[in-house]
Amino acid sequence: MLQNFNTGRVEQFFHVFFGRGILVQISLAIIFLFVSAALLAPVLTPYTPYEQDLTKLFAKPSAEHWLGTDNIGRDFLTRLLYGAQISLVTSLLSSIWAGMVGIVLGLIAGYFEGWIGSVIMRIIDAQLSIPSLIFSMVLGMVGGQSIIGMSIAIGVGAIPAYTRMVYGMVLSLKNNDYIVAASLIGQGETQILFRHLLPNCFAPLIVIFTMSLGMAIMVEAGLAYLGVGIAAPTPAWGVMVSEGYKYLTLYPRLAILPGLCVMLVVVAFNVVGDGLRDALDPRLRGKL
Amino acid sequence: MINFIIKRILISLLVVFLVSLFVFSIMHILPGDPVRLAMGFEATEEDVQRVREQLNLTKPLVEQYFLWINGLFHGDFGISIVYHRTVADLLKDRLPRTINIGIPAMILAIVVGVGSGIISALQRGKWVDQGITLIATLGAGTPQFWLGIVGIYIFAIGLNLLPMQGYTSPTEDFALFLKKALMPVVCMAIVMFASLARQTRSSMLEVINQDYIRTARAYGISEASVIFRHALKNALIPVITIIGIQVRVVIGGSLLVEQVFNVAGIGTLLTAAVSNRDYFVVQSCVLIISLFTVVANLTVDLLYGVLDPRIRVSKG
Repeated sequence: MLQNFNTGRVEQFFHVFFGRGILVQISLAIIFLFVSAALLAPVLTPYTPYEQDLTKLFAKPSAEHWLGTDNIGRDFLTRLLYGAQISLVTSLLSSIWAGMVGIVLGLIAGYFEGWIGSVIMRIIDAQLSIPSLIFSMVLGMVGGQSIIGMSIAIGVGAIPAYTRMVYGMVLSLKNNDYIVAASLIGQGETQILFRHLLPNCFAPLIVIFTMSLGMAIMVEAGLAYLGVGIAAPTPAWGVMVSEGYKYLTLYPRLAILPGLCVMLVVVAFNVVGDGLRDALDPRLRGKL
Repeated sequence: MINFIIKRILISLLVVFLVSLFVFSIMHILPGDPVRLAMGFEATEEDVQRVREQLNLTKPLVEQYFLWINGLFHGDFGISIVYHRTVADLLKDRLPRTINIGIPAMILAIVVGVGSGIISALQRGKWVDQGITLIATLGAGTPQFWLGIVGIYIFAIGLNLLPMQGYTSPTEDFALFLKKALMPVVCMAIVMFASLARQTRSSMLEVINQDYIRTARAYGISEASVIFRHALKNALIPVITIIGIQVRVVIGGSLLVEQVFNVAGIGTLLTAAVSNRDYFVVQSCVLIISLFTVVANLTVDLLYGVLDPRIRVSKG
């Protein structure tokens, strides 16, 4: 019986998720390609992203260099593939770290309310008054222009989304009978927070996580483009756009392709996030 | 209502205070010495020390903080170590450029975004709706700097219709201003447009399925009046919230767009200040930007209270 109920829900999930049209399928395919490129970059290409061939500057696409070479003779496709790796690593690191901190803050603020809740939520408000690009840029000055430093800075910028969502959920859930019952039979606060309240936030958390992956890639690329994020010669897509921009007139692909990659991946994560939201919990529509 | 207003204003002040603490602390825990960096290694230690004293950097941190805040109230935003000018002076040059691009961008985003959201909702499922939804989905995920570069490639390099980069003041040469500002304005508007179109569409759809709309139709009120007088009023309330939130997104986007189009506004000023570790410029720029968004959000909150009496009661 329970088995049936579960398969029913899973079926319904897939039905709603894929019922949103071809865009969802294209997006899943883009994410699949993106992750494969990131994981398999060293296998897929015989070159490294830093290897220069000074006899072949701005080479045209050929069998040897599928997308040609850049201004100092580096294989362009190789750099795009490794760029996927950098985007994947920074977005995962920053979203996981933002999620951990944001969830704990939201649980505490929502469950205890009082002055500690106010302090947390006002700090979150203050952070939201600075555009996340600027926030991460200023914070990134401390950690330096490494992948880890940037992931932390971008992650801190993503904390408010998690905190606000968990805070709202906890506020509405904590007066339910089962929470009151749990505390009456003597369960500790940690247990109530993590075993009873947190699992209820699962659906919106998955959605926010998916969307924050796209957001992190966007911020990372923006900062790298501005020259205050991950620094050259690392093949981050934003760095490649900024370097390629100088040669836009003659070699437009150098600036346009890496930016196109950013756009495709970010849109794909957004579309999948939207789909997950509708499929996991239709009530979240318009809220996330 | 008075309580509600006072509470919102106090919270906003607190937010600005927290931002000032944040940006001040960040600038002072940074490794390295910004004065030495700006003056170069050929400067003597005495000279560097003298400049540090001039800039109050040798005083205790708490005192430095109060000196900075006190200065702000008197229009003294500090001195740029890199440009050797006062930050107030720099801002006087830079801020109008950002505003002249940013405000038209917001107006464009609101008009086109809300407009296409309404059309989308009324034509639900038809090709117009699908087209608008697709554009909004793509727009929300488009890196603004990339859109700018693609625009330059097509309209400046390819078709030779618009100038590539730069900025001309509208008072100096209005036609040239329009030509130069067109692409930056569109790039800056795209993200806000996307989220407004989506929000308007979904809240419009929610409203037009409600009973009072059906009742209005049953009374034989004309379709235009049903949509514009009855549905839109309620549908726009959540849209106004999005406008408040999106102000910060537009400001954030100005960094990218100004860099691409070489508009020397507050965005490029801040970016350069971050790369050059120009203390006072970063501090004051970030605080001013957050002040802008706080004021925008406060306005929206208050407007919300006026438009929707339920908010006043529950939050007041």
